[in-house]
Amino acid sequence: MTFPKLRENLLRPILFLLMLTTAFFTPWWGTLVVVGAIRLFSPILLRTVAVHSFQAWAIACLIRDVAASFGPSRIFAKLFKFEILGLSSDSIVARLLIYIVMGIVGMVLAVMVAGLIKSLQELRRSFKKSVAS
Amino acid sequence: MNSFKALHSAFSALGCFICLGLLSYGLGHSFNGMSPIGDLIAPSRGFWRHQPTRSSDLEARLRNALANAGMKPVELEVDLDGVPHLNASDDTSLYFAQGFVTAYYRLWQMDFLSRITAGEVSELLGEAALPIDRFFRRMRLPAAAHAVTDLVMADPFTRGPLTSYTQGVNARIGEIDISSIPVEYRLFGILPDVWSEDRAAHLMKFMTWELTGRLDDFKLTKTKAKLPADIFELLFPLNSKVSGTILGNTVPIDGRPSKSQVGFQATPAPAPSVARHRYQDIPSDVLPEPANGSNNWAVPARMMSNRRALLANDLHLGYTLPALWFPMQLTTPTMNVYGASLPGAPGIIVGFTETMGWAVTNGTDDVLDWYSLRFRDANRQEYLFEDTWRPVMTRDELIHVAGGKTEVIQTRETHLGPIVFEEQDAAAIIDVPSGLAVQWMGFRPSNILKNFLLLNRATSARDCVAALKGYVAPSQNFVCADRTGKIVFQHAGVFPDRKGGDGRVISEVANDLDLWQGTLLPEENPSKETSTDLIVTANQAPFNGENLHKYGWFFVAPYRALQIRSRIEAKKIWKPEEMIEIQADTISRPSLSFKQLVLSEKGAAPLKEALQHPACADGSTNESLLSRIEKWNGDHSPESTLASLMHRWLKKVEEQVWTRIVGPQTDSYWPSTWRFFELIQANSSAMKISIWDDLTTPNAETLNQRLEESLKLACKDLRETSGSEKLPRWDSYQTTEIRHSGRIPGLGQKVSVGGAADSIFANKGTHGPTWKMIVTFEDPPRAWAMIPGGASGDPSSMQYDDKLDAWARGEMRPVKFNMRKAK
Repeated sequence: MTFPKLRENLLRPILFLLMLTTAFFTPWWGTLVVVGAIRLFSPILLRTVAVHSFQAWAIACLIRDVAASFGPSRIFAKLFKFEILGLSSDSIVARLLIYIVMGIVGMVLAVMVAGLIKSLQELRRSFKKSVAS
Repeated sequence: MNSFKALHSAFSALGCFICLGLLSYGLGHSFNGMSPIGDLIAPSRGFWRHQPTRSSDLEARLRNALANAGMKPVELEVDLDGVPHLNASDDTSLYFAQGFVTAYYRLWQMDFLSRITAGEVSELLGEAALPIDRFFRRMRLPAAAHAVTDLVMADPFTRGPLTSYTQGVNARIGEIDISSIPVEYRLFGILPDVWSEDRAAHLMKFMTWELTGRLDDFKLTKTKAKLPADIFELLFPLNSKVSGTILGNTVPIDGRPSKSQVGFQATPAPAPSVARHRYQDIPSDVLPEPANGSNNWAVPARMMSNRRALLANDLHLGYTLPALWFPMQLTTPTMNVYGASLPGAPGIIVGFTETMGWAVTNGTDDVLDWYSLRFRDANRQEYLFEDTWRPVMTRDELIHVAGGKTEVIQTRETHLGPIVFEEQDAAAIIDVPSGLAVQWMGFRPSNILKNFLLLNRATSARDCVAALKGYVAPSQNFVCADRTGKIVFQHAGVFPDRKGGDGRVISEVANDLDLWQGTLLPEENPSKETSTDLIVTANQAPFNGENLHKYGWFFVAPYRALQIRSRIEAKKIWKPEEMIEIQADTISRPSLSFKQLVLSEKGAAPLKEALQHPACADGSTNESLLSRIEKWNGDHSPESTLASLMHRWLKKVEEQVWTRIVGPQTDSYWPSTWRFFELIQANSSAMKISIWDDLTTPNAETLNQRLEESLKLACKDLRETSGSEKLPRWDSYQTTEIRHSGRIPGLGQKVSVGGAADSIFANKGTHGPTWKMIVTFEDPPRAWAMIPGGASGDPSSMQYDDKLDAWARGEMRPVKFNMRKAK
């Protein structure tokens, strides 16, 4: 195993735990701050950010939901009117859908901020190169 | 190449920035006074932190709260239906526990409902609720509720329970944290206020308004202006003779002039009005549903298999989630009562004790009148009375609106009553004249809590009479029964003595005699005591006779009462649980009357052909419409398509007749369906109106023609509405939705349920049976109950709406009633 590969394998769980902790304990904009900070100091791939933030938000919601006897997902299923889809607010499918929606929200937030920073960094590099040439 | 990459990066950055900005704005911005969406969905603080209500959690919290307040321990048992049973050694800790437990399950609901008549809903729901707040502030209901609180607090019998209950609610509010705050507060981004004793009075005023705040006078005034006097009296008769009254032909008042009661301030007469009737609108949310009513009946022991009297009650009010009523059992060494409590008020409102029970239906009396005012000028600061210009008393009131805004409104009052409708009111629903003063029995302060707390301690049916002493409003038909087989009926309330009028229209008064001169004597109110007779009340007239108009004129037609009576009298001996089926009866008698009318004309053209008209074919059966009508028993079950057709058909017939004779319903008051059939039966040239023939046309239209025309119109209507070739099922034609009390989308639920306004299961889509109870007075008493929803007010709880489907099927649950432990 090469060193970069090893480093990536070690960093991934740390990154996941960091993002899970962020989702679990900070407001929604905490994800923006933390992912933004990570992306500033590490050339982390957007795909990795997307996968981890999706997992982090979805799993954070799942843990909270289990701890609250699935009450929170029941509220979301009602507010999202899943009954129109024929889904009871207590069905597993409804719960999974809600975790997926939440995961997507976390993912979009993270990818947007990571993408913004990446684009700005590339812009800066291009600008430097053009000045140098 | 570099410049291309730079451009690409710049666009990417810009795109990400814009998307992120929009997303952040969407998640972080507060729309319509609601919490930012990001705060609601974040796993760290949003709904994901919410813990549903749980009996084990409640038990521990109640124990702590009682200990912290220095109260004695209270035993709490939450049964499988989520109903709390509280057993205390004294009243103080009992009512404290009731307040705490109610707030644990129903804090949002009690807060919201008590804010309606307080004119403080905008503080929760934002500007959309301002018309509601303006209306109740102008009605001066906050002041009226405060007067009730003063009476309750002045009486040692009620002061203790109310104070303890309030302390209990506040103990719960004080311990609320991020995981236990009700979902609705989280959604609106606010915290519950400290609970005050006034709130219970507001809830009582809310119920009084819901049951007596009828505004029929407006439309009837306009209708009266359009019709010759004799036709008006023909269509809207006072004291009309109807079968199925509560007391039959008994006349409790012998026609002698009623005496005014000492201490009641007579309302003087305004000058004849020339007020400009500028038609404004009432927000629909403040209009009580005219169908608010109920059924109750007491079956004598001789008709029961267990030789014990039976009491049944179903309260027809607006459906809401959380369910309007909160079932509960309250036990102390001196009291043991089970029944429906009103979240926010101590005690039980409808229920039973170990040896007796009481049941209520709306009295449907007319206890609200409007007086025209003549103002001096456009400023409307002075009004004319007895040739003198009198000042209008004004008061500025502040309405807080969610989001930090405030609105100042001016409430205005005359010595005839408050002025409710102002010219600047917005948005039209129905026409009402502005510049009227209102007099309402609901303004009169009374210690209504005392009446109910005394009922909670009653041991016999006769105790009802004593408990109801001083009861003012809302007027109700109380039916009480007990273990000895005694049954008592009491038409309870205080009623205005209108010496010169009948209260049907806006008063254009000439002198004092046209106005309220005092009240009828409560001891003269209709009442009955029996051990052998079946008593049935369903908002119908209490009796037949010339004095009926003293109580009111819009009593409900006795369709439900007659159906209940005919079903019970069809059998000699009943098992108590068989009454469940009667309460679930969905047969509508007006439809049966209409069926008879149709069948009387079936053999003649053109109706004969119309019954075979393809537009009326059901599509689901090859059977002819005529054959189906002949077999139909009037049942309005969810799957019935014929019920939809017959209902629409009858409405079309009525529409044809009354639009021609009286005017369109948007602008006119139509006679009831009961009166319609009475007039059809009595149809003669002496009646001065032609029901079927339009005298302005050269042809002589007949009943048969009218039926044929309206059938075609009804079929066309139904098909257009349903968008299908088939006739709609009854549950699609009359959809039933139990909405959330704060109208939050998603937190309500649609259900498939049968029943019509005039069936015993009086479902009207948005109104119907909100508390169903059957109790037989064995030792211990045996009972069944049901609410549309569940015990918990927390949408995240399984018990928020777990009874809804069973309720829709007409089922009831056996009640767990704990007897007091023998010493």
